[in-house]
Amino acid sequence: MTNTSRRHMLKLSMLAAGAGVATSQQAFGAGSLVGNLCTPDDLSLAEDDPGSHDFNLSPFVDPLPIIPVATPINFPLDPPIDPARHQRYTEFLPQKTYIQVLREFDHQYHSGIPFATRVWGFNGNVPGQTFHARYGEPVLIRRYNQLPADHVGFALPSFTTHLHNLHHASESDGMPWDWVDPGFFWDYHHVNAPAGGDPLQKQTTQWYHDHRMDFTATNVYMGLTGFYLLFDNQDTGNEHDPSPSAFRLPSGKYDIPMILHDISLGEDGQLYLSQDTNGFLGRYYTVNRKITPFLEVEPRKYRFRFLNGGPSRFYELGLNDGLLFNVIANDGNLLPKPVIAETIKLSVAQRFDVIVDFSQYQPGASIILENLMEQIRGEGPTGRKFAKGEGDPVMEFRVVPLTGPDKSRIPNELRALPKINLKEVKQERLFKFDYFGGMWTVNGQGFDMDRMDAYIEQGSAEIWTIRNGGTRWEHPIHIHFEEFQILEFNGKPLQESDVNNSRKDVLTLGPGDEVKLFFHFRDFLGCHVMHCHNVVHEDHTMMIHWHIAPPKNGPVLGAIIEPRPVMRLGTPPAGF
Amino acid sequence: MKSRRQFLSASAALPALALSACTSTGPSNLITASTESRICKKPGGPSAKYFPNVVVMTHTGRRAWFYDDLIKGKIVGINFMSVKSEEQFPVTQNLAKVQELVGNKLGQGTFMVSITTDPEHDSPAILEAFAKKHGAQEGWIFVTGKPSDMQAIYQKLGPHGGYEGAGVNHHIWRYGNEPYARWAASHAMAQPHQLAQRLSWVEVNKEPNSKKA
Repeated sequence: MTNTSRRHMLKLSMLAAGAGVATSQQAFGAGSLVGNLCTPDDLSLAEDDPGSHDFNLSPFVDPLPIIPVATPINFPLDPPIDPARHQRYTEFLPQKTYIQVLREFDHQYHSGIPFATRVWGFNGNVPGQTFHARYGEPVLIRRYNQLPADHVGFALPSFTTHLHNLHHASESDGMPWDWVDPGFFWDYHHVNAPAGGDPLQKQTTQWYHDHRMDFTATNVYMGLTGFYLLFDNQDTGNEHDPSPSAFRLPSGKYDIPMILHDISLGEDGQLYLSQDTNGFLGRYYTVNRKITPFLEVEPRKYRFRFLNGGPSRFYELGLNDGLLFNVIANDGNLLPKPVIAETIKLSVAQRFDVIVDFSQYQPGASIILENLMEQIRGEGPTGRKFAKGEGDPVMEFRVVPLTGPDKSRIPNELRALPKINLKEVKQERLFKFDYFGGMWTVNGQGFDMDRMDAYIEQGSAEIWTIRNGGTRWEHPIHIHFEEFQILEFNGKPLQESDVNNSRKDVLTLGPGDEVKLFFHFRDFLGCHVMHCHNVVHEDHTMMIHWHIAPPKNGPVLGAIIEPRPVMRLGTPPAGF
Repeated sequence: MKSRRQFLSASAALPALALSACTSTGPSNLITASTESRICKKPGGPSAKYFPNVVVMTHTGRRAWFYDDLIKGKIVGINFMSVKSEEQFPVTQNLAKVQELVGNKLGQGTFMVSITTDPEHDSPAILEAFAKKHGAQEGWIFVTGKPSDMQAIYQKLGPHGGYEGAGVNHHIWRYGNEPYARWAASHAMAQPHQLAQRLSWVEVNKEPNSKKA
């Protein structure tokens, strides 16, 4: 494959800025692209970086890797879990236990590369295995660090695994400072219960990734990502489910998680990452860690769970044949009803679950998933968009004969939004994302793990105004632990049909954007973070630290674990 | 042919050495002045591609190759400063406290490198006085040089891809372990103990028992 962004940039350079940005208003927040132009001088493209080698690869050579599903262990942990390290452990006793061992191993990013690439992954998998979790079924995951202590390269062999957007206690959230060095392990307890006990707060497509302070971009780039999917009595994971409550969404081999990363390789075939603090753009698109793969699909419905794994690139995904996406979930939350979209815009860490119906195609047909977003620097897109059919190819769908009837459905109604009651709001806060002195800042300051930026009363609701102080940057802002709903985007409420009228955990801020968010803070006490999920910005201090404190009145849920748990010494059991 | 050290001391007016011109031509540790391109014959370490190998001057008046002599083989914290901007960006004052916490390791494998963004004004003599004022010990090196050579450093190590230029980069503090190619950055005004701790993060501890748990 040759990355075509330069070709397209040149070919499309006569297009007026903004032309073509209006085709998918449903798929991104209003106003997010306004004025979103990088300066055209001093262009530095991924192709120009001397550290990035062009292997002249052909697209669609390798099949899309289907990520294996994690299987629980059937023996007791040794040493056993320490319940005192976990909030509400006895209320949510784990029903399944998993072990993941983080190691370094060789991976083939494309069969045309004459080298294996050293990567980091979980139990020999990159991406890590997909967890299939169910509401009402708490799990425990023990993760061991068996990464090489003397690793030579940009990443740090010290991990902390954040389960992105899951509602669980701070000590199981993979805080940036809860790292685990080689030879040690950490137990993560996931209660798999909806926030506030509200069934409308249930989630679907989540993911796990490294969050090591200062080294998140490097460690994610090396491979430390994977999916964590949640199922319940509606999203049951069975398209044949006879239960009247079941949505019967495409399931099994027709439900495919896909994580997008863009990478560059040095001439030795090893991952290359620059030191540019604006962000990093890779030469090659990968899906499930394979460069521009293909997937054989039957002429029927599929559920694709798209996730932008970063480090910095923004995507606008479209299908070259005019095929539409039925968007059913935003950031891992089922929408009130499906939204039909030509394209979907994904900033780093965002997820969209879509249903694509290939039933109109005959075997032999080929459909290309392409990225229509032009981006030449790490800090954000240029604001221009490629014409359909002329985007950068991301992967190919090849239609093969149908093997059985398609019993899956696209329901008209999915999951209603929780009602917003502004009378519950006890506090309003303003957070301005900007830069100063060469570092990325929030309210003028860089991240300080010892400084608490906000104390929040458990059980209360708050309104946070998130403002982008920059004129050239886009920031995908991620808030841990609780999901928000957008009250206003640049002073206006979202239209009811807007796909961002959803529960969310990533907010994409275009230059100058200001957004008001509403959320509750429930169920556990302790520390969490908010940060830019352009992980290069995050590593360069664009993060704050907030804390849920006991309520002044009423019952307290959870407890502050003191002293804060630390990594424990231990090696994985035989067979791992 | 001269030894590399001889070459360094004899090359007062060398043009900038771009890293891309730095190639290995064999086991020799020598350098030749016979071509315009000034090829560095010393093989680079694992982090060579991240650092320009330009000739700079230290506050002690020593001429040095930026990468070969100040970065290679070391754990190092790197920041940008200038004597005139210290009042507005008191990073040297903050790093003086980091120096205290680094303690005996300073100069023994761990180094601090402070790069002026005002080379026209900050001569080695001015930097020497500035270093003395802030109590800089051996192992904390202030760096100046020809503006064009310094520009190569800003372009590579400055924030925002270097294109914001000097003067807006005083809050970035890069740190890393060169032989292991581990590099990250933090805020130069972060609490001193946090910066000192970061220098230990990039150390290589092969024995897990040596760490607290």
